[in-house]
Amino acid sequence: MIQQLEAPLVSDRMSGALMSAVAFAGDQLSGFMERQIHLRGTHVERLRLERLPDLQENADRGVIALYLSFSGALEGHVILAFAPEAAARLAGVLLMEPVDLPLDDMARSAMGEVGNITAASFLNSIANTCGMILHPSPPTIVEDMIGALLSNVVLEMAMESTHALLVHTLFDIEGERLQGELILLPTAASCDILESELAKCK
Amino acid sequence: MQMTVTTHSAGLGEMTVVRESDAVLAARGLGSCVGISVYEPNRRIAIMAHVMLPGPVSGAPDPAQPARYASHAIESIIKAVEKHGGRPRDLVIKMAGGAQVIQLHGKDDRLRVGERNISAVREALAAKGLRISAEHMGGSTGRTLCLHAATGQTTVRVVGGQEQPL
Repeated sequence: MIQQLEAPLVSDRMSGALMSAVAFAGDQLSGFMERQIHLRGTHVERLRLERLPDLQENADRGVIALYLSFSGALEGHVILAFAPEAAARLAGVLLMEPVDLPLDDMARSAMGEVGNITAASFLNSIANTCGMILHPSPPTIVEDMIGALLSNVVLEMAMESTHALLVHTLFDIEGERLQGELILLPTAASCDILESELAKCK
Repeated sequence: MQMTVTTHSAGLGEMTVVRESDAVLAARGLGSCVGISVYEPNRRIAIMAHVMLPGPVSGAPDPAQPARYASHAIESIIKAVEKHGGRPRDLVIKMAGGAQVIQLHGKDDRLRVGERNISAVREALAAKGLRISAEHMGGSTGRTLCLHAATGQTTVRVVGGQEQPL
């Protein structure tokens, strides 16, 4: 039986803009950390909120994640999630010393900086592409099950949005590959606005 | 020889039902959602419901998500128990979840879905005269709730921790 509830495909325009935003975030992070860091979006999916993979079988996977919301011309939430070991590695790069788990306050703060620069640069790139102004909130670091974190955000949105944009992202830090997930949760109205604004771009 | 136990996960809004089974039923990564573990010992009926929201704003419930809303979830549980020949008064009901894992920026405290889910599930159970045997609710930590259908044992786990009997 054909599943009628699947999300619409992501347009090439939208996918291209999000991939570029990821790459821009990597450049900004690289400059901040004075290290060779490349971020690459491998693909973009638009999924029904409840179909996000992290709300399915692997929902109790432990992660260290950064969360922030944004308002302005678009409204929604951004979550940048890493396996704890990858988060410790990222924090260690910034602190220039090995970091052990669980993260101490200093490492959490470093991880917050990494996430903040990445997520805020990602949003800035989207805003600049569309000539918009977006206002990111202060970031919050969360160590918990990915499903618990995501569902908390998703349920707050359930009345106003049905889809999420999942940007599969690879972090290369001086040749070492770390996997992260960048999840953009725009409200339904914001998703339409973004698509419409991107269509006007040359 | 090691036995392989099948695990059935109830996703957001879903409900899993087995009878006379050795499976493990799970509601994984519960944040503000509430997992409801139900066991009827006479008929060995095991149910796991993963409640998302207190109640609908409008529209009919999605049949694919019988546990999406608290009140619909309790109705669905009772129907499933009766369908398999069980009696609702014999149910052993345990719950976990309803946490506020993250404080969302710019959101009114009245929108706290976790707390509202807890209240809605409790009210829906009380309205049917059903008693809660044990619970692990609230706070700010995610949980995974499991029901071992072979024994009726329920466990709860938080991130980085081990399964603990509930």
